[in-house]
Amino acid sequence: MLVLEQILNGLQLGVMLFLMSAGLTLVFGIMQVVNLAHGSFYMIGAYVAATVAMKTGSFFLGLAAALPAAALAGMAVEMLILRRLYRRDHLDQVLATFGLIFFFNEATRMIWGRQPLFMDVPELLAGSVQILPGVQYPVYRLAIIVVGILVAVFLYLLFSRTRLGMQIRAGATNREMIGALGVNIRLLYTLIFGLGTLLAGLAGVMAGPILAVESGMGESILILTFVVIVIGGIGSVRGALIGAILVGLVDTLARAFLPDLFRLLLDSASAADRMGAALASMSVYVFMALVLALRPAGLFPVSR
Amino acid sequence: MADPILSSARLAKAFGGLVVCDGVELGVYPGEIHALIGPNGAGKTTLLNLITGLLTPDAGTLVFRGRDITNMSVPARARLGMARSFQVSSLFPSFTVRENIELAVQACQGSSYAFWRRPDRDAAITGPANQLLQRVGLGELAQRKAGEIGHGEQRQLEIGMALASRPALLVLDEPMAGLGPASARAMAHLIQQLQGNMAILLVEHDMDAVFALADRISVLVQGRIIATGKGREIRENEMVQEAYLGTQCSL
Amino acid sequence: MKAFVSMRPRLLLSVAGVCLLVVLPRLLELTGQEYLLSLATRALIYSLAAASLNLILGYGGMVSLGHAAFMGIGAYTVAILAHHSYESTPVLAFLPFLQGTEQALIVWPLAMLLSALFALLTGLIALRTRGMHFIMITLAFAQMLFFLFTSLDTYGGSDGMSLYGRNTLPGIDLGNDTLLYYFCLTVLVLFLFFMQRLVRSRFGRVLEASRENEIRVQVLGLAPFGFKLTSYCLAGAAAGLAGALLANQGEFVSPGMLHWTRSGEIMVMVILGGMARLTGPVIGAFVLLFLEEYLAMFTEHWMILLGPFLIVVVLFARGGIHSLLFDRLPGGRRAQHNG
Repeated sequence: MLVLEQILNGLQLGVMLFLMSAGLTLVFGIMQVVNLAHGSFYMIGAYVAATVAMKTGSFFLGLAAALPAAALAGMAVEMLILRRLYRRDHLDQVLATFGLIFFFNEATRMIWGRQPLFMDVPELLAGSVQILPGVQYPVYRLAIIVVGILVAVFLYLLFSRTRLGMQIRAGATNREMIGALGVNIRLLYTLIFGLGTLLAGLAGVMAGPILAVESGMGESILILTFVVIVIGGIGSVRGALIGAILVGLVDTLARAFLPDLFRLLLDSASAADRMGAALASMSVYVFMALVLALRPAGLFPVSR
Repeated sequence: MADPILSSARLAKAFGGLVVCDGVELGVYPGEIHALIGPNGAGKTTLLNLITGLLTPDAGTLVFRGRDITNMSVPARARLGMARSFQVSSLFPSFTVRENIELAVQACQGSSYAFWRRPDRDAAITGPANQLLQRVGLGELAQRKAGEIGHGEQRQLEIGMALASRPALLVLDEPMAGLGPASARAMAHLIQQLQGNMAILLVEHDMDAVFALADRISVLVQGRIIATGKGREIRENEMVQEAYLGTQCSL
Repeated sequence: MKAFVSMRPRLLLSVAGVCLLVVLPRLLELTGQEYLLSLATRALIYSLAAASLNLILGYGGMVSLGHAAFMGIGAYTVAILAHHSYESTPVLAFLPFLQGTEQALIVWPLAMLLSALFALLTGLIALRTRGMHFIMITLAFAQMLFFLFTSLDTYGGSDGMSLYGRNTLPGIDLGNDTLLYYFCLTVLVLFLFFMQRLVRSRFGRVLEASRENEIRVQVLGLAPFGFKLTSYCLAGAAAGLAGALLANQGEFVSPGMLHWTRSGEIMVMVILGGMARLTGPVIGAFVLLFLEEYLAMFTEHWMILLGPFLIVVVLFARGGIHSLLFDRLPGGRRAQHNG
């Protein structure tokens, strides 16, 4: 069934978006910083994993190397640059993180060249599996969905069961208070940022075998991430999850079925294809506009 | 007695679980100076925000000049004749003092969707602006940036901007806040001179000023008005003494 | 009188700048660098785009990361109409009377109108939000158009499309590069003049006041939303014109013109030149474009310098180049930013 396959594809895209947006929405909500460079950590994760995987032949070693790399890079950026931007207005943050994008993109081009790298799907997860009679689906993509579920559960446990999670949640609603309670805000912020970049790196690693690993790959997924966060509500991880799944589904299903739908409606096949393809690519943004028209603050806004 | 210019009925507002206004019944009459007092945390600023429209009530109604303004936007209320000064000076810091006043004058004069003529060359704006500057005593500082003048002068500018629209109701949120004794006296004098021209709703902690200026006083305790009346009635009201004056300060 | 005297140094410098721009083609000719004329023309066009962004960003305080979308609409209006004019086919199959055209007097106002319309529709949604929301929403809408144009294969898709010639204007041959340069210069100067009147008018004051203290504006009796939306549409229209001019200058359009990195570059031009000052964006555009040109000669990896440079500028030098030049001179209102 084509529809089921596309739904699963949509979920898989949703998972990637969730990994990207979970950490970013926290950074937006708690530290109130617009970070345009988040996609760079996705890219770092992918590049490190690809390089290590090529050298050692093992996808999982690549993964093991990429996650700390993304987290450490994130924490370094937070300590050196982002920290100074917390009190600045958004324009400064936009410009500075924009500068970071330039830097990272160019750095990857300098180190790895302009040619994209390729990653192979790990042996363990290669091939397809039968999920329903007559329906095959790639194991790897199923694995991505599983990872997404695991991360969601992990974050849920983190926020509701651990002290760190409690501090993060408290920080989301009242920054000054947790400082007064003796929590080391600086460290907390660095950890939050590192967590976000680690998840972004994870998304990058998982995307590696599916998409090409190249300079600038972070930007295309970043915009979708922003859309997810705007729809879900800034600062809300739950919103990020729901938003990510919705955006993943809308985008995938629209691209898959809108052109066919238009073929049914219009006589000219080429005009139908054109309109269908055009509208499919715009569908996510139209969806975003609709959500915002009804709820300007997103679906699950965090009230301070 | 004439109809009140502003009246509220069963006005209520809660933030999450915290009930801040619990059925406020308030009436302000034309031309009077009406003071609103109460212990800290009684909900005075919230009530002012409800009246001026910065907050919408959960329940109750507000009537101003015979119109139901409960759901009216902030600018619409201002155009209807309500002006406000803030407890923490709310100005345009990089504009000069003169430009601040000019903007206040401009806001109630004709359309601001004018793209060509300059307001500082328009006598319709500069005339009233100059008058206001003199009235609040800021003529000398007119060219200074509002963010660079002293605290007392900023309070004066606040009042000046509120007066620009010749409001029917002037809402003053702690106009004496942070002022030294001389400036406070000057401010009290200014407010007194306004009496009769407009209704004034005044929130203030300075009890001397309150009892000297106010025609009537309402006491807000835990989100309710527990007493309204003239100065002496309030002073002698036992409930008020117990709830407020007994614990806070003596008169 | 005092204002005039204090204004004079800045006015003189601006006049000097205009004079320099007027003689620039001759200078380039004399120094044997005519090839830089097209770069200079592009700099003029981007100055227009940056100046229009300055209106909403510097004066209005709206951090819009989607400004390149307006340029793209203007550029594609030119390209689509030119394409259909050349092919002699109607623009939309079901509206046969809508033929293509290459006449500037029709195409350019249409480009501005369409950009303003896009600004109106997206502004109605985006301007109800602020801060981070607004930044991301403007970004998203621009990207939406990027994807739209990428998917239109008839007009080049992701590779873009060349134009067969420039638009026609009665009496002026825009095909002549020098004439095009002077035309763009005239448009820029006219726009800056218009902007100057605008920011000092009643409208301009409310716009700046809304940037500083929106609640105060409301309490005074004005609704900031309308002012922001109007300026957003004006800026969109101007950027649309810039896009139309850009399509003419390079005789080429591509979806890359709408990419958000372009919006970022325009923003960098505004910042480099200093905000809420009229001529800042012009300086910023020229500096950035000529820097790109010259740095690229040294190393293909010059961008790695731009990033940290930008970060350093943001962290340490507020006000940009323009304020370095003009801050010591009295007069003028500085754009304030809340911490």
